[in-house]
Amino acid sequence: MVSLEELKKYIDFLSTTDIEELEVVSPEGEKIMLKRSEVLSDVLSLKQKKDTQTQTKIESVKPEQQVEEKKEFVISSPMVGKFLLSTSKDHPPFIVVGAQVKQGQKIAIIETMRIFRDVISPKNGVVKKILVEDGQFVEYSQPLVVLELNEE
Amino acid sequence: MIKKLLIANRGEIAVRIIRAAKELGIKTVAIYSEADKDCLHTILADEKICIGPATASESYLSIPNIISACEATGADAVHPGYGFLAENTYFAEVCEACGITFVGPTKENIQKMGDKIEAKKIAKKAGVPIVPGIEEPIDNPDDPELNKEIKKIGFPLIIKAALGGGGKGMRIVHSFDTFKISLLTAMEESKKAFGSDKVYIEKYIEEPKHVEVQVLADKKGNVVAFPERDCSVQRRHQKLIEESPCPIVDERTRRHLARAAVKLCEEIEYISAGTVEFIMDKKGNFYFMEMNTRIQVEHPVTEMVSLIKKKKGLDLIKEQILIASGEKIGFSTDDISIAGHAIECRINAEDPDKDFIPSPGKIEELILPGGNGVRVDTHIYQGYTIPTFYDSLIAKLIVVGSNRNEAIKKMLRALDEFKITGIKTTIPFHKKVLQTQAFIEGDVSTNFLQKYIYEQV
Repeated sequence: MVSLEELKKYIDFLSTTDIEELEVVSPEGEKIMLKRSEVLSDVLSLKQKKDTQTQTKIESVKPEQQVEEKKEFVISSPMVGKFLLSTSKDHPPFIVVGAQVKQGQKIAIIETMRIFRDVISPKNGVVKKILVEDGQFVEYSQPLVVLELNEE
Repeated sequence: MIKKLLIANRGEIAVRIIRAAKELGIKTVAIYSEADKDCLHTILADEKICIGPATASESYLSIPNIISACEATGADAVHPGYGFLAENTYFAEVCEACGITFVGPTKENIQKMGDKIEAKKIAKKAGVPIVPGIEEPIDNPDDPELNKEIKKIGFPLIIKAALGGGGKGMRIVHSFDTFKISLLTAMEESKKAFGSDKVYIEKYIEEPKHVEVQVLADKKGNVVAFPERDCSVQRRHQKLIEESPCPIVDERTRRHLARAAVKLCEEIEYISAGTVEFIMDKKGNFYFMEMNTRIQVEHPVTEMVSLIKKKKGLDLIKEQILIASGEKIGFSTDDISIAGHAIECRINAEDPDKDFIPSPGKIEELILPGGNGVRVDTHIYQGYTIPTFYDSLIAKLIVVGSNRNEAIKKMLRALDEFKITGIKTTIPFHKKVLQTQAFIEGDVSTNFLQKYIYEQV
């Protein structure tokens, strides 16, 4: 007669393997058939898949997170007119690529019919790209400068 | 010849101007506000440039933005269309200063005719009949001389704003008792609407017809006048239906109307297209009201009904562009004859059953009428969303028939074909008007709607 303790041992053993069926024969000739439940086997195999997935997920998260941290912001033109990067040829430009810009800082001027309008940055960030050339005519809400926002 | 024309307008008139310019081989630039990204004129023009946010004051009315757009695109001329900056003296002046050809009259023309009181004085000087009234603006409402003068004019009389129209600052006075209070309220309303409380007073002509004459004048002093238009069907002083010729005008009166319009143009050395407006009583006597120094909404009516010896067809916008380029008008008033009868219905995105409340929104299904003698000037297309920021005119439906009755039948046929779903329009309203006995008989004066339509509602 197979004892409960022995049976538990066999069941435990079965659960650690891929074996679907196990026939146990006692010295007395008693046969016990242990069959892995289909549901259980599905669950076990899923768990194995999940474990491998989690592993790869951990690997890929890091670089993505790094990109997400750097959000971009586009400053667009408040007016139709000529885009000017400095007040005159003798003056240095308001911004260059790589410059740190503060919220409220003047980054350019748009000129139309002798009317000059300041282009103000609404965010803190670093100038990633200047999309238009000094002296180029721009239309209303045309993208001018791409900022890489500073982390909050 | 103009090389690149910037159209300082939107919607159907911008489309109209672009088409005329293209036919003349001129490059076109469309300006648009953010709300008009999908407007048809931006699709048809050779170039387009966004000039501001939706609000008109920051886009279509922004002189710096428009001039800047000219600079940016290299446009050497501007057509202002109608409304917006079309009769803004300062805009015409700025264009001139910047070396941009303004397709329209001179800044002096605009200024002189812009002040209604001054315009009347000039008309009188030119020998054009004017409505009896007080020629000077009312300075002192309490002046005892004023009472004497208004008694001379007689009642009913009308108080009008000198610097504006469209019904604002306007009051009809039937008796002496209500005169003072009407004067004061009219002055206040005018101040609020036009920035000036300057008003003038004239005899009120009851059940008048609104009759106007289209003119063209070139830079060489030639002036041409076309057969008159009757624009009496109005709601709150906004025209709804126009026709040409006027059903009660005979040949003799037609010649007098044309001569009066030409005299006024010569007096102020007018240039380009314009319209001289008259008020006409039941007997056919006409009096000068005002001059519109721009191309008008209803100009296609004249194009459809005018037959010009040698030229045959008429394109008033092309004529404007040619005149602005220094060309001479290629025909005279005597070369013009009337080929049938034309009618225009202004289709607005409004609900006629709800007091004409604006009905913006997306046009789900659109079927335009067509066929012999049918013309549609529009900027709408299936799937287009009408913005909420601008006026509600979405299409002009014009027909020409061999006589007035045929034109009415043709218009009704075309209105029946015209299908617009997704928004409410005034199409059913126009059908109702054109089937009214009074309209068919030609018994139409400026109180037509109150008399025949509203009573039925």
